[in-house]
Amino acid sequence: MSDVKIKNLVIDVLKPREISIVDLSKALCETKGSSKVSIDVKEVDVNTETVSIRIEGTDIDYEAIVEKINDYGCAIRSIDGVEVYKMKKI
Amino acid sequence: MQLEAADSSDSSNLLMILEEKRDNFKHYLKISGIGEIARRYFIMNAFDGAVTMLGILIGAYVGGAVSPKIILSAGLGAGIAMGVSGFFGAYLAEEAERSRRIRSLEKALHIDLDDTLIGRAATFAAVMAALIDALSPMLAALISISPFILSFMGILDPWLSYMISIGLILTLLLILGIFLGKVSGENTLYYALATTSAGLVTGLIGIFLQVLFS
Repeated sequence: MSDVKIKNLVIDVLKPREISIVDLSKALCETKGSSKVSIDVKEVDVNTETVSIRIEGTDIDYEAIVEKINDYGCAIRSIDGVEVYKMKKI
Repeated sequence: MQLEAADSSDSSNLLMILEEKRDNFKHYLKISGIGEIARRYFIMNAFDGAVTMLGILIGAYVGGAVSPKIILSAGLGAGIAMGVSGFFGAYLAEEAERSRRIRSLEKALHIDLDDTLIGRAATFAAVMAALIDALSPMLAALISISPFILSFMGILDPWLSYMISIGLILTLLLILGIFLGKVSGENTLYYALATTSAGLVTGLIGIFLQVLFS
């Protein structure tokens, strides 16, 4: 099993306007390994909004994040940033 | 001891499932915006149900058949027909509208939304609208002709039932008007008078019909 963990993740997402960023951020923060989520609205369209999602944690579960974003009817446009670290074995 | 542990784990699982369902319900309500639509459907169709029953009562009087059996069967038949028509009409209309919205969103997002919160909320909204559209006229119809159930059982005089039914219908229309007034946050009296007037106009047309037929 890999001991490289994701610490920070920045994702550019296109979301329907019906989905509130408060609900989306709470749902993402509930995923395993995430401890802090912040969302910034970058662009507003008639039906959609482009948002930048920043997730922080000790061991972010990338697949769970993608699944949650898709379940909320949002489309991932790009992964704009990632920060990983390796666990030191004692 | 083991059995007790299994029982408590079962109940905590059930609690978790119920909490998840409640959260989903809240999400669907919020995303679909069905609350406002449901209120509109409820008022519109309960109003329909009450006025239709008034029409049946007046028709029975003009036709000289104030019999509990006839009024009950005609009333229940009309109530069921309104319920079935309301269910299918609202479901299909809501589904069509929401499908159109989802397809337009899919074009913008370039993803399939059917198995997402948005898609599930749309189905939920269509079913909720259909249920409210079906149940509200049926409930209003049932309340309106309920005195005739007592007449049918021989407890109440048919003419007394007739008067109580008309009173119930006018009260129902008045309550719907007051509810509308509360929703609008404006003149409650105006809405109450408007809905009750619909009942009184139906009554006047009935009197006119009776004069015409006699």
